[in-house]
Amino acid sequence: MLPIKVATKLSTDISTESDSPRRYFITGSFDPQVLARKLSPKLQLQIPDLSAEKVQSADTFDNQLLKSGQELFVAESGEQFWLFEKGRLKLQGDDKIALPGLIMELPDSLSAQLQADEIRALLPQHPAKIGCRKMALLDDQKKTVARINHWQLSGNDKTLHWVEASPVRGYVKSFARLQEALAAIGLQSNATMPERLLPSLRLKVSLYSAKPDFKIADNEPAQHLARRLCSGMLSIARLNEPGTIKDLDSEFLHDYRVSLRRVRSVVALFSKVFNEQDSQRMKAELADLMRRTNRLRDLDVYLLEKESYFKLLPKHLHSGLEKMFRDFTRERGNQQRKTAKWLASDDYKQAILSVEKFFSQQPLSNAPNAATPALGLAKSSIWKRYRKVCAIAKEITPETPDEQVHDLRIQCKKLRYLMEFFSPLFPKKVIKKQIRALKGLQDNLGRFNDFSVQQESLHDYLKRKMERGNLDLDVADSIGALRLVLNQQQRQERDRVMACFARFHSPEIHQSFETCFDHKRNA
Amino acid sequence: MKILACYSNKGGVGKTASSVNIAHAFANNGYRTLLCDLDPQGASGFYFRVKPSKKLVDDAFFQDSGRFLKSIRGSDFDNLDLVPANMTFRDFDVFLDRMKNSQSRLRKALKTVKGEYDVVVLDCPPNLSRLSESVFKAADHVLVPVIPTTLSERTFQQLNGFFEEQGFNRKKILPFFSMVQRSKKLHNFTMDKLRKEYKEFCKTTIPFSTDIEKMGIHRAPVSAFASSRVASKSYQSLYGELKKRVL
Repeated sequence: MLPIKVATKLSTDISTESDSPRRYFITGSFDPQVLARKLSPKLQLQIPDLSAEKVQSADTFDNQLLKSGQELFVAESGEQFWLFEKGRLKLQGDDKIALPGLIMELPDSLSAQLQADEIRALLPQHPAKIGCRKMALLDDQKKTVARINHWQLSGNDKTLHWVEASPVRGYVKSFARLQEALAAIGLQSNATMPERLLPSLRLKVSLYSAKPDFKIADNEPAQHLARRLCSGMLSIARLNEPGTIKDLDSEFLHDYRVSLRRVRSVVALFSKVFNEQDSQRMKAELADLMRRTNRLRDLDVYLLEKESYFKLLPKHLHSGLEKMFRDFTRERGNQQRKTAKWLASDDYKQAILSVEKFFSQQPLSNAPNAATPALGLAKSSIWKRYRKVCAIAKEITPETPDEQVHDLRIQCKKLRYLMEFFSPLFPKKVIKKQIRALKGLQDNLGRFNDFSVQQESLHDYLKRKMERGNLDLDVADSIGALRLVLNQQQRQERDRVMACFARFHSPEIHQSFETCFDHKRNA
Repeated sequence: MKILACYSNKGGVGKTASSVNIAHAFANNGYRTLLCDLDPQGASGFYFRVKPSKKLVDDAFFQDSGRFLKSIRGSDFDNLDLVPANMTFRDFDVFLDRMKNSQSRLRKALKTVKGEYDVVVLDCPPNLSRLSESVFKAADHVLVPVIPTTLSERTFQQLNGFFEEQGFNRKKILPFFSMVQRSKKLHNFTMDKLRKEYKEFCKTTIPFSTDIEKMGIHRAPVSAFASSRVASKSYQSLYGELKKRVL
């Protein structure tokens, strides 16, 4: 209950100051039991459990809320929100909120309070957990004589605690006792309460993007560019370490791996930009780092796709799937613990530091293309890769063995990486259109590959169960059926490869590749 | 700020239960509500676990606005505050007798909180006294719980007669049936009869209910511990009627 301020003069020794709500910011943790012990025996602290809700912070792409001192947290369920202003709860509600979503489509009660342009969308930004324990101070009649809210906000490996104490009208003395008890456990009223919560969690509230745009100058020396790109991507990988260790969301590991893979492809695809010895060493070190998290990522993907697997099979074959997913869940738990331990280990720190050091070292090492201007390298490497893609694709007929289709997929992937790295050097619209066309082909090839990999790994799972002698019949049935379905789907994708390539290799797109990247012709 | 007095010149008709539950209903619907216990027995305060006020003694209620304000206690419910009674309230008649304009004293005392509350509910002691005269003067409406029995019928008629005699506005009287037992023929008969004679009776009737009796065990309004029960629902319905007629 909100205390109602008495506007009339009070003919007492107690100033109005003492009956206004107090806030206590806590460094470290807060145990209400300790506070309870400091209270006089006549007063009893009612302590409910603190249950924290998984939330995401939400803001516009340019952080308009944070800039105006507001912070919005939305429950993962999308059915609860908390709006803080200058570190104080301003509004709490249980309206449905979809992220990302336009501010103008939010419930009126919330949108009216937000200090941001109505046309902007709110994007999910950081995972966190928020909880508020509402405690009551009771007298000997079990009457509430003061209220204490214990807030907790955690994210990024850190937890903030703060306590809000408010008086109940007419119980000034009890409130004074409560303040004394809070002081006795070392809490200072209104002490250095941060005006913004997220930065206090050391969350990077700058614009996080798994694939940020780098500015590139046409004549930037290729090796200088490669180092810059790699250092940037490594820092993104490292930003995702705490989230991966904490297992907040599988996206952390995903972004971590994407970043490392992109570093590795710079080394592999920027030909002769590093000397042979260096690039071999880096490729090996990066491959080793990636290998450490392969299995966890595979399991994440299975578990994310769990529902779609069930949809592929009729109900009577579900029991085997249930068992398999139980195994996957268990294995994922083990893998997660292993990964968390690895990422926190000294061995890992040394390994990642060695890679970071290589890309940040000066001066540049010698290599034939080290000083080649960025634009030249971009054109020659993209053109070369594009022609390779076309050459392989043109050979593909319905009879071509699957290996060649896999090869096409890998070449397309390399082409895509190169185009993404160098995209700032070319007209945005043109490159966007090319990438979209390429993506159409890649999606087809990607599915073809996924279905094939899935069949293999199901086979591996089956084999392992057999070898251990704990294979149930229903599991074998389900997996057999699943492999059959996946095989049919793979065949369907296979049949579409030629049509998909033809769509990518249209005269218009080909013309556009030629104009952009055929350096000899342009010269 | 509307002042609603819950009054009956007969005891044991469910005055305090009604005051507590009506005040809670207004508060629960967002009205800033003050429940003022004028009955020296202090039953309203007991239901909210609030101890009798120690300092609001003798004539302080009417003379010392600072003391009056300081005696207000926040309840455990949003928007609901209380002025608890104490045994010295039994001498209100004596103090009021000594004061000039005694009939206006209560209204004046309550003026102190004007602007802080939307509704003030007065839980009154059961007699026709100086204090009740102040109540009739101060209140915008006088809610009268009536048990549909012959004796209650008689006292209700007495109250109406008193209003007429003393020149109080009879339109202030807002009666409703309380502790009703539908199984009793006499109850139904008396209700029909009274409704014909006094059109102002509320449509809602409050049943005789063990849930209301259990308020003493839970020490809380009935809707706080038995919200889905008939008793709680009748108070909700009574609140709905009152809101239309008094606000």
